[in-house]
Order: sequence, then structure tokens, then C-alpha cells
Amino acid sequence: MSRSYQIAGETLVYVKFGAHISPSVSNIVASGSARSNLCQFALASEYITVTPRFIHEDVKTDDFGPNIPAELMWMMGDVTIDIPAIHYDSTVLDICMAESMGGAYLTGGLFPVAAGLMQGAGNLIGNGVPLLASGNHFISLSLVQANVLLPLRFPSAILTGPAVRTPLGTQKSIAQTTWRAIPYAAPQLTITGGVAPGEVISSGAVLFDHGVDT
Amino acid sequence: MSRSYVVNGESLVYVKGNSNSSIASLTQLGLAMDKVTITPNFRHQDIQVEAWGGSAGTAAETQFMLADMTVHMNLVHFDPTVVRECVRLSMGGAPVEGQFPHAGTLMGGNVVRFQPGNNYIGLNIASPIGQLPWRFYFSYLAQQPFSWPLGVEKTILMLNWRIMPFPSNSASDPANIQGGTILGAQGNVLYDHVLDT
Repeated sequence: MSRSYQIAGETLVYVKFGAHISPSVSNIVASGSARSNLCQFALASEYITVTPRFIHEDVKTDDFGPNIPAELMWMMGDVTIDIPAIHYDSTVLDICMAESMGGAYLTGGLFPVAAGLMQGAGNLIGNGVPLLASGNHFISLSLVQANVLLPLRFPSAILTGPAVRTPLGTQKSIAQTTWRAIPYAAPQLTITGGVAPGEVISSGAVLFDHGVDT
Repeated sequence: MSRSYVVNGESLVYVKGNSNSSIASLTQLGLAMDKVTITPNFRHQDIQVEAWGGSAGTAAETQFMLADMTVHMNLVHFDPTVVRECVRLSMGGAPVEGQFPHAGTLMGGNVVRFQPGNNYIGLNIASPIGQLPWRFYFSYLAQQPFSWPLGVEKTILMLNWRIMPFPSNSASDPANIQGGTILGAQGNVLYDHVLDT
């Protein structure tokens, strides 16, 4: 591909939740009616910023002195996605926040999502099940761009840090959302390549891809 | 088309509002004392490249970032009732002229043109001689919207309109998704040369 100005075009943000968020499940969403587990989330007021963070560990040898490594080890990475949402579905945002807070559920073990309800401290987000399976609270975040053939998809993302900053007033609200995507890998179910069931393997974990959720 | 003097002719101004307004059908607004002036405001954004001098140089390319328009008219033969309805709609569509709706009320109301809740006005300018009428889909009285002198002489009413590129697809959605493709502003109409009916 030759060089050119890179213009992504209109970028629409989609989110897909685990199978526990579905109209087929008895869903109670506090701020509105139930949503399907694949939803349009938002249009942005300006740039959506995608910032990968790569971690490399130095391997030092005495021969190379104390400061400069002789080799590097790849130690995985994550991605921060900043989305200033201006034309968005506030119900979907409620679900994203609830899932990012551990996916709280009401009594009875079902997964209706109540806005603002937190899961207990220490609860896992992935819960040891595959992405998009029932009980996995990671969100598949997709940036679908009008001018670009390959969308950007982050299969395991959550709102984190200053997750949502929402100004309230008579002017339109621009919800500044901060997402973190990690390379989640569910534990192996069967022996694969000599790896025992229950092992969590980093090799092959997906940080992002160009797929499309359906 | 060959060159000639361009004469628009008697430029009667028509307006049309949403179906709940008193101008739900195409309604005569008035005749101007002098020219009706149409001024587009194109927005372009420069792309600067270090190879062309960076921020100290000129742009190597520009991007078109849509446009709005202003229309100015001085009406001398007009219907005050119609003007007042245009004022009411331009103030966010409160029930009564001169009243406010909530601050922050959306002019388009997230509905399509002429639906109740969409307070934009269709502004039309006839062209009996030039045969090139102008239709502005989404307009409102803006900034200093009118200047209404009162006295014993005839009133010359100065009106300032702003024409907006409101998303005109069925969902009034800026993403404008058609057949699974995000079109954005593509295909949206700022103006054309066919009068409303």
C-alpha cells in the first residue's frame, strides 16, 4: 500500500457483551429497556485515541554494563482507548459501567444489570470462561470506520480509571470514556500441545484484531 | 449555458414548518425591499506536512468539513403572523411566541424534517425570472434574528437566517447508516433548487 493521508472517517463505536446480556435472558436494565448483547454505543465529539502500551523487560549482562540491556523480553501489552462520546446510548453506557464494575447481579443468580451496582471487591472480570460467554464481563469494543476497510476490535475491554466523566447541564453532555483492553485468555479446557486443562496461556492471546462482531 | 445578465426576479420568500406549527403548509412570508443575500460559509481544514514547511508553511492539502449558510433579507411587504411563528420556532418551539423552552432544547428534536419536535424551518425563495429557486432545508432565525422598527413609516423588517446541515436521514442520526455502511454527512442536503410544496 502506498503512502497517503490516513483518514478514518466517521467512526461508530459498537460494544458486545457476554451472553448473559441478551433480550432472551430476563434482563432488567435500570434506566431503560433491555438491549441485545451487540449494541451501537456512540459517535465521538472528536478524535478517538487508541494508545497501545508495550512492555519489554531488559535482560542485562555484566558484559554490557549496568545500564543498557543485551536483549529484551516481550512482556505483553495493553491498550488505552479514549472515546469522547457525544451521540450515545445512555442505557448501553450503564451496562458498560456495570459490566466494568464486575457485572453485578441481583439475587437468584441471574444476570440482570442494575445501574450503579458494584460486584464484590476481588471478583474476576473474565471469570475463567471464554470471551462473550455467559459470565464473562469483558466487553468487545469495536471501532467501525467509514473510510477504512478494517475495523479495530478490542475483544476484552472494560471502562477503567476515570472511567466516565460526564458533565451535566443544559448543554449537550460529552461523556469522556476511558477504556482498557487487555489480552484476556480463558483457561484451557483440554490438554493442548502438552498444556494441562486450567492453564492460562499468553501465547496467542488477542489484544486487538480487525474482525467484526455479529 | 451562455453568459447573460442574471436576474432572479421577484423573490417571494416562503416558509414551511413542522406539522404542528401554523406554517405546516408552504406559506408566504414576504417580499424584500431590496436584494435577498445568500452567503455560504464553507469549512475547510488544512493538512500541514513538515515537508511543506509544517506549521510555518502552507497546507499541502485541505479537507472539506461541511458548510452552513446565512441568508439576509429586508422585508417590506410581509405577514407578521408568519414572522412571529418563525420566531417561535427559532426560539426552540415553545408553545407561545416570546416564551422559552428548556435551555439546551435541540432544534431538530431527533426527528426528521417537518415532524413535530423538529423546529427547523424550510426557507424557500422563488425565482420567477431566473427559474432558479432556492430551498434551504433546515433554517432558523439566528444571532440577531430580526430588527423590527416601529413607527408611522412602513416597517422594513430585517431578518437573519442560518441554514444548518442537519442530518436529514430517517433517524436524524449523524452516523447515517444505510445498508450497514456509515455514510455520515454524505448525501445530506444543505440546499437545492426545488421549492417545498
